[in-house]
Amino acid sequence: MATVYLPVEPTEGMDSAERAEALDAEVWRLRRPLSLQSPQDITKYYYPRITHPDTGQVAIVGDTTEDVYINPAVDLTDMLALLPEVPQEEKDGLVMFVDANKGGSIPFGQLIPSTSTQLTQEEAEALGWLPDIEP
Amino acid sequence: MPDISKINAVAVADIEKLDSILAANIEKVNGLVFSTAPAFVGLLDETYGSGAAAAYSVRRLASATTVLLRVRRETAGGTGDDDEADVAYDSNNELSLDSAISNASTGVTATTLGQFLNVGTVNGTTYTNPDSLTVTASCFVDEWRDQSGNANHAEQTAQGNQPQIHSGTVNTDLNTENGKPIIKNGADTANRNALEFAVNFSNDSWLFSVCLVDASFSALIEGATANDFVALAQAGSTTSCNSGASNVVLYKDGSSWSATTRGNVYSDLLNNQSLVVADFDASWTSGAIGYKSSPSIELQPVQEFIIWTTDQSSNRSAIETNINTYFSIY
Repeated sequence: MATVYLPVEPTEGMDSAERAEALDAEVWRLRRPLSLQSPQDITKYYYPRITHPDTGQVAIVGDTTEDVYINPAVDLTDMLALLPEVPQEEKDGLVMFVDANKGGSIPFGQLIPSTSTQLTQEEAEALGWLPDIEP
Repeated sequence: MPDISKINAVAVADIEKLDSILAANIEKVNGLVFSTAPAFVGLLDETYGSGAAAAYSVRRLASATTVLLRVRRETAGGTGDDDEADVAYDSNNELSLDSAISNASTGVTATTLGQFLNVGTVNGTTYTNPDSLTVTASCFVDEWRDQSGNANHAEQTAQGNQPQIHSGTVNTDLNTENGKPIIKNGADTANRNALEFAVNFSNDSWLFSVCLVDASFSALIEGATANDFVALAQAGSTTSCNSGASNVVLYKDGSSWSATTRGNVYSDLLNNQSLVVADFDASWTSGAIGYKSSPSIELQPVQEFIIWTTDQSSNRSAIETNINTYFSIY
């Protein structure tokens, strides 16, 4: 297990928390597309998210080595729309990579866009992402 | 013949179970009155147990309870992966593989938890595989239903943060501790398993929990923020086990508990199923079973977790007795 912290930047119309939630939901939909979800499903996200105690920015806490199952019914349209800063060439490559692995799995680390900040556990601690729980 | 006094010459009073169903829960046999089944009375139905703000358990706590928890099964991309279902209590008023499921995802035809998970044969019962799973599913809790009637359900919407109730090993029962199901950290997920709920805590908050410690750093309850907790456990730590709460008084197994440090909590609860009671003052507006704010703090395996926000000092002993009678802790 290799924990990675992915601080999410706000975009036009979405603050960090909203965008992180939307992205996390799209990661879950790689495995369980909307077409397979039921209204009564409780599970809607893949990874936990944490809020920086000082800045309020939200980070997705993932695992770069975790194999993410790619459902054959996956649809990346909404996920790509949430990544306006990612170059089109990289998006095209992601689509091809995911399409080629439908029904299989991809390590989460290979799904992280090059434009995303990635923090290790130690880096996240140094930047104050984890609470100081000493009273 | 409105009433049956004997079956095959055995007096009804001497029959404890019929096909594993407690006699007390059988009202009729082939339409004939077998006995007058006493109405179920759970902890929350008792005078001493009324008024809980939130109540979660692997057993039925109230006559009005219908569902104990909602679960998600994992089959690693196979048939039925990530389907969900509500799980009721069984004929013994507790969670088991015989528990009926309902409100399941589209395509699920299983009717019991054992079928839903395709567990194979457990304790002499073979569960069929109506959903044609190709593996035994592991099972995660995404919602622990509040039995208090206040709908303060404890939820976890992120799959990577959900605690586990079945390992996914064929021919294996639910995770258990001292013979009763237990909700614990998922072995294959990050250490941030937590079920979150919304409760307005008060200056007379009482938590009754059946739990233990199985990790070097683990939490029973986190309040609204990262610095809100009671009875935090950490191996070797001399730091206070409580934060964000005042006037904390702890009890363990029916007696006063002098734990003040995280190290105390760790050593006293390590692999030791315990009835932990905490009386504390707090103004938290939400909480978590476990700890949601840091990946380094694990969920303490838990079987029951009940919160009152009114004084329970006069009811403590009766509540403890009720809990201990069921879980046989001490």
